[in-house]
Amino acid sequence: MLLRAEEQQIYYEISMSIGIGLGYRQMLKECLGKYLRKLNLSAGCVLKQVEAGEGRFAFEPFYLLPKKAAANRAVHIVEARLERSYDAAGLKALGEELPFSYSSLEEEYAYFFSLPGFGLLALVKSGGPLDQRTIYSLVGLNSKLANALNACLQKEALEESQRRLAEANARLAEFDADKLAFIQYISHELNTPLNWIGSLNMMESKELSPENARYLDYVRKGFRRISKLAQLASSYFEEARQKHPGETQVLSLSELEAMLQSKTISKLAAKELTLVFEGSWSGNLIVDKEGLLFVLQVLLDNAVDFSVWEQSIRISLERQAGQVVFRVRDQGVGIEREDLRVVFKPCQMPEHKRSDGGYGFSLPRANLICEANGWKLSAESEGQGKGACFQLKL
Amino acid sequence: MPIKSSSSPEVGELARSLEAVASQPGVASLLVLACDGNGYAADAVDPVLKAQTLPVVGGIFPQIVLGACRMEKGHIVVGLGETMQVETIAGLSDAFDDFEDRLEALEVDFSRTRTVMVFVDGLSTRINNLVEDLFSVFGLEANYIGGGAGSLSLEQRPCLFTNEGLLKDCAVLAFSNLATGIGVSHGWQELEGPFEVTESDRNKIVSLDWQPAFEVYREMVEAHAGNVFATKNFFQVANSYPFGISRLAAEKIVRDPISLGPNQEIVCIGEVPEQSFVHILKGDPASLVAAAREALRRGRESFEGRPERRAVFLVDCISRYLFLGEAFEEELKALSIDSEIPSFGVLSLGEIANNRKDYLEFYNKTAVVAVIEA
Repeated sequence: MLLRAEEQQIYYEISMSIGIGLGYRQMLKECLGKYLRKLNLSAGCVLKQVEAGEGRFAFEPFYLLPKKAAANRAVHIVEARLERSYDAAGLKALGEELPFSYSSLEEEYAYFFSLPGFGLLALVKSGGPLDQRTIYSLVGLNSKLANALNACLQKEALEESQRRLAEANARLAEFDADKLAFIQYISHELNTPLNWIGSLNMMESKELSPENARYLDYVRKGFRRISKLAQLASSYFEEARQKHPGETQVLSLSELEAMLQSKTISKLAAKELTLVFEGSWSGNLIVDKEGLLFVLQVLLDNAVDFSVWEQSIRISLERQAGQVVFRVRDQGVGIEREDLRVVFKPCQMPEHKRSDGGYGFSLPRANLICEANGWKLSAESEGQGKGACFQLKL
Repeated sequence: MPIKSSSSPEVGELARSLEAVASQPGVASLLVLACDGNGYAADAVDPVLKAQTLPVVGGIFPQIVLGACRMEKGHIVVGLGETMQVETIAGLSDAFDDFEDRLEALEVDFSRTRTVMVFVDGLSTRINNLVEDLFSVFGLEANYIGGGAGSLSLEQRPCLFTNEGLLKDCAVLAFSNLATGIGVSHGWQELEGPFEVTESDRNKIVSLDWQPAFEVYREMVEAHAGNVFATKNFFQVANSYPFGISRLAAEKIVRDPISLGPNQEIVCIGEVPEQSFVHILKGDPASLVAAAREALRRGRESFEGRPERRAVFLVDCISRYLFLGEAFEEELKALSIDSEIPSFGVLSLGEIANNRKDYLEFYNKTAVVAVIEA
């Protein structure tokens, strides 16, 4: 009879093999091999509990050692001892019976153990039975084995999901690249016919009849609009493809204030609007200077475009926990809730919701610059006629 | 069962024995056992083996045994009445080779296979992996008997006989319907332990209980045997103090320490897994001889062939002979049924055996007996 300490060492050895790696095949080969070797067993079979339909459950062979079912006595004994499927009550009764032994041949003993949350383990010993102490010592090890198996399967499922996600992302990136290539191709291809149409500019209106002069005027307007659209689309999608941040420079905030003021003043005057600077515009920022200027100018132009006569626009600067936050608030027409989602996306705002004569690329382009620099641009509005607030966090 | 032997180391004599046995009526396969002392060269032996039309299996061992006679030179050729399907698994030391896939690819009819003879190059480093994969693929559908061939010089040379020639660093599997009864026992007893193998690399034990393995081993052995490492080389001392790996309610698996590595790691024949617990074992002639007798008893008990046609095939570890010295004669007597029943075998570098009941193992310092139907 072995010493109890030696038994414990054997269980320790088996336990150390449980959960080796997260690939269940390798882990089970190592671990079930250890069960068989250390307990001098002749076969083992891990069974997974599966749904068999109509509220019934079955136990399917999941891993065998030896691998060939014909050479594995545990498989034969499982077929002889277990039912093909169990209803909930039968399953409960089987669970209460575990662990149990079964002997069909002289000097051959099979032992059935629960693998909680996974299924069953069947072990076969030839030449003599396991003693009760060993059987109950294995119960704890088997719980650990069940946990390890479930972790392996979860990892496998996660890896499968990640693989599918990576495939989907690759397809998406491919579609995106195709879309950008198509838009750039179209924008580029428009240039030649636009130049042909542009040759009409060479004509002198005064040499035409009033009616033809009017037609020519339409053509010129159309030419300018399509040219501008092609140029904006081309540069937007090129920037979207590259997403390069601009050059980092020192920017004086007072200088920034003055520049924004001077670039907006004539537009403000045209609608008799007031621009109010709030917060402390002193000190310096080290940022993509050109990018920041562009973004703030777009926000101010946008506020001007959507404000009505004599309203005021406020631009504030705040420092919050290491961040610099600009807010541009207007009292204008506001943004409907469903449009807040698409305000930064190109080609998605309907024409009547864009600024007069605009193309819908300004805010998307500003957003591109923010993304390239790791800034956060967002918009809020309580709805139509309630103004809007754009926030830029650096 | 035709048996032809010679104490001549000449390849020509081996060729004559092969022809003599192969020409006997009813002989379907040839088991060839030869001594390392013959100094066979592959290019001399290969034509003889390749010319043989019957399946050939066997090896070159440190010594061979015929009846009560131990031979250091010469050969034994045994004619078997069953046709063997001989398969070779090459690259037995290749670190990342998957034996399981290769074994699964073998087409073996197990409904007509009662015995698998397994001969391996005893100096290959992945014998344990092969044995585990044999169990994993074929299970215990058949009896297994065999062992490690090679030289006590520990220099790896071609040592396995096949119809393709003399091979090294491989395993030769012979599947046949030969009726056999297998018995295994060793008789080594616990001296000190247990020690946890806290670091090992396959067959090298680096640390025991987080201390350098050799320091622990030397301290324990010298406590028992005195200052022996000062006067003898490692192999001479370690031959009497092997390691034993515990199993539940079964004899320990012995691991034979044969040398020290460059960093004083203990090199064994056969793997010693990390986190296993080992004892240092000791032996005495009486317990070893009694174990050999027990192995024969088990082999006779499990033999299901015709009793009147019995023969005994021994695979006994060479280190048992080195340990027992003159008392090895007693072991050979204990391993023979009587003078009427032919007995032949090898003194091997590790043993492989199974009786369809125990987990298949690669043993060291163990006596393995196959009672076979002639």
